[in-house]
Amino acid sequence: MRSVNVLLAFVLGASAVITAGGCASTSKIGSWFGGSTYKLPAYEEKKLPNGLQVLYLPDNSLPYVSLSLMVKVGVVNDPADVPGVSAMVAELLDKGTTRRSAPKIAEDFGQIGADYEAYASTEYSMVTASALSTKADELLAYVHEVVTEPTFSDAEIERARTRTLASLRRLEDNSRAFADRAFNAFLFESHPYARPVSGTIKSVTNIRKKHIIQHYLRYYRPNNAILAVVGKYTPEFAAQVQKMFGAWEQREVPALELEGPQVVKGRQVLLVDKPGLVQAQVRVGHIGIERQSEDFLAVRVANTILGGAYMSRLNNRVRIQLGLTYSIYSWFETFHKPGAFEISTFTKNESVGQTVEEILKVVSEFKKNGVTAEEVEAAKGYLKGVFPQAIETPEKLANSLLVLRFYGVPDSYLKNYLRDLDSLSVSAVNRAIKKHFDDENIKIVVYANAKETRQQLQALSDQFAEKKAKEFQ
Amino acid sequence: MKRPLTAKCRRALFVFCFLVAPVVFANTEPKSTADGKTSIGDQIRFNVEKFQLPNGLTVLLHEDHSAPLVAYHTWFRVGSKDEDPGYTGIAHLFEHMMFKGAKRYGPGTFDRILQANGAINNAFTSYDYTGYYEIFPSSKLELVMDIESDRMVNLQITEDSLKSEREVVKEERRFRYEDNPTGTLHHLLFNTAFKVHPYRWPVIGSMEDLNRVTVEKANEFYRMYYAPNNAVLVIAGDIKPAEVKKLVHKYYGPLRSQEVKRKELPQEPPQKAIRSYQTTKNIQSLQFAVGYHVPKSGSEEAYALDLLANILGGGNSSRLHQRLVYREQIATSVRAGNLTMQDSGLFQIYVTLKPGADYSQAQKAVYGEMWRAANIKIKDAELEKAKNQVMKGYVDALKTVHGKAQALAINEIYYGDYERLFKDLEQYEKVTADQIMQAAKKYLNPYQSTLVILKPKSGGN
Repeated sequence: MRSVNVLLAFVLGASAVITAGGCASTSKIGSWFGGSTYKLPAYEEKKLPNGLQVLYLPDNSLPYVSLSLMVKVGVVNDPADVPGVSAMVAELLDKGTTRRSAPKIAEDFGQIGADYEAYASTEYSMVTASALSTKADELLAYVHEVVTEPTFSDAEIERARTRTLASLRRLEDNSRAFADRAFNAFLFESHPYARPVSGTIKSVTNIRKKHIIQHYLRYYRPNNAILAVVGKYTPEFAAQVQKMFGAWEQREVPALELEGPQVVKGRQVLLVDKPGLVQAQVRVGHIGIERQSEDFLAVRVANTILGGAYMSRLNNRVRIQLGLTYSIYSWFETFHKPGAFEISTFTKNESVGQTVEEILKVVSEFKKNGVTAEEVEAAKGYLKGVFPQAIETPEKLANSLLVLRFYGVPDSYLKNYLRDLDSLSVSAVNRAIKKHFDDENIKIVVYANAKETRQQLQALSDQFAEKKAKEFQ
Repeated sequence: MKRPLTAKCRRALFVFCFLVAPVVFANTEPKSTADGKTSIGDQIRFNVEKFQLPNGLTVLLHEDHSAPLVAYHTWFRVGSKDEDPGYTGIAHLFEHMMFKGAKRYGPGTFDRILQANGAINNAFTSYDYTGYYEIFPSSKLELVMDIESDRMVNLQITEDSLKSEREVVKEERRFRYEDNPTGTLHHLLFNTAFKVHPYRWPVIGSMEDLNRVTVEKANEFYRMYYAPNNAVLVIAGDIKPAEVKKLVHKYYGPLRSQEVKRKELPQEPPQKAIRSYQTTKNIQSLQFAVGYHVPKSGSEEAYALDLLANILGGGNSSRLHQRLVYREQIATSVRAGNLTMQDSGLFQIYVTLKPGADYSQAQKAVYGEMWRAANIKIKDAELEKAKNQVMKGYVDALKTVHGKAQALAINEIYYGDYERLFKDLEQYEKVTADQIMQAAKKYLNPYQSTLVILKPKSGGN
């Protein structure tokens, strides 16, 4: 989501954390925008005997039901030599169960008009599905079945492997996604956060059935998962959810001890060559903060001023004043350990050197002189104003609650969000800028036609390297 | 469906810009069917109040207090089809210029003020229309209305602002078309399928034409199409309609209507033979698209064709996905859509092959499935599935006030009557398997198809 609907992610918690609260059916503008705390909407939370946490968020405004299951496993848990196992397990859940084949499952989900999706990310996996309320029982039965009874047949594993390999070979045609992948690898180096979620051509080729089975049996456990039930459903349905998922067998899940990633030293430039591109994809950044950081909110405000909104300093300079790009923004991706701080943009080949220089100038000035009280007020106004959008629907709220629970952030974060924003001082924001932003120890990745951009980029730093796109497959 | 697949956003990376399928509305209470159950269509109804100012501005209000938010949409009946040859892309470039300052809110203030007040805003341009929107805390409604009514008639365009924004749009063009194989393919399909009608050129225009736009030309475009009588205003969310009506009169009432001179657009003659076009690009796998001319927006047959598009390419259980992606394993993705526009429609299928996969096999499969649709009646269960999926799409589109507002706007723009939407779900419900087969036979004729292929330069396919 970070590259498309980045705005709300920005506002309330970066790509890994979208944080929000909710409001009751009648609006209370005063309490929302007067800086006080507010009441979260009524939702129920239960912990089943097998350890599964279940959140219930009723919503009678429209006739739908959705189920979202978060499983606490991601590419960081994959064996180091075969990243991509988490993603493949997620993909294979609906490709055959003890009762039905993959086409039959697709057909049955389709028949009830359901949307189904399962994916892995860096630190967790999600299975989400929704349907019309009239089809709630079928939806529950199907979701329960794919989560608890997948068979991982040899034929389906091979299908998934060839499909993933084809996607990986094609990835360089999607310049934006490919630049993100290269930046992630360059920034985190040997740290598990560097691993591409979908794996590499080598790792996906080497994934064996035993990896998949072990991974599933080890991590897909009720005591390692949180389920959110949202929509217009009956009490009987809520009880049935508990009954069915209550029978899911728990098992001890191994804990992962992760060190933080190494900080960046010096200004390092990597050019990834892709002949034929007319536009250079540019990524600039360094290691940022963890979700539990005490500076989380101050960094959010600071980033809004730097590149987190349309009228940010970066957008104002690079797009509005200079016309160098169509889009530029920055964000912090927060995990259990510090994630990336990243600036993302693109420009025509001939202006890539100028664009990077302008970005660095803006960041340098930002770090050196900090921000003004006026800017902080404007950023607060923006963050407070867009806050309701992050919780406008119960599904959005449910997603936020899942992620907050995963990172161990209490609900008071939501309740006090507006008040805490209001009480944030300019000096606190400026302290956070000094501490968490850097223009000298920073990495720059450019995915472009090397012939047309090399010279411009070599001039930026002595630490310059060039690689072929194939090296990031 | 009235889904502007080619809409161009002012800032795509900040806000997701594609619009949603039209949705059903009515301002009546849910009705019960004979068996006592309310239909899905009735359950998703919501209140709408419509009125028109003496200057011709059409206004739709929807009251929804579920969150303290308002979605504010201003759409104009102008798109790339209204451009003159030699000035392609001006509708979209002009849309960018609408953020550059007006009389009461001068250069640089528009976005700054909105943002500091917690609003997000964006815009999009399509073949037939241009839309602007803000989503903001409900306490800021009057401020937004002041700003929007200002730029509707008082826009100030300068040489400097046009010069820098033109470069921004060129970057957008490189991003969406030149370095994006799917964007390239889409443009090639329209450019090959349409030979006469302005739908043949891309919404974003050509680089040469963008360079040609002057301040005078932009102002001329503004005067020609931006007027209250050529606009639809939708305000949805945490509002009190009686108060909002007073504000609308206060801010928009004094604006003067103006004559909008519609050009007589050339009608696309019937396609009499298969058309094809292929080119190469430095990409890893072959992509191709097939298009068929279908009736324009609002036709009776559109409902059957929408359902057929779903059957062929809607999701993992669709016919083309099951065949090309799952069984034959030669494609990584397939999608189908029935795009109906104001003057015409194009039924489209897009296929992305696996690197090195057999193109002729994929092409045969696509045309084979089209033949099947035209000659073998769809079974009841498959038809029911398509209807369920379409209905679910309607419900999903209504979950936010922004979604409601844009669904209202698009139907008002196309039909001049948002209640037209109310009939849509009923129309889908009524479609029979025979009607789908007849529509397929009539329109999805291989000898009237357009085929465009984007091949990797290095061979392989």
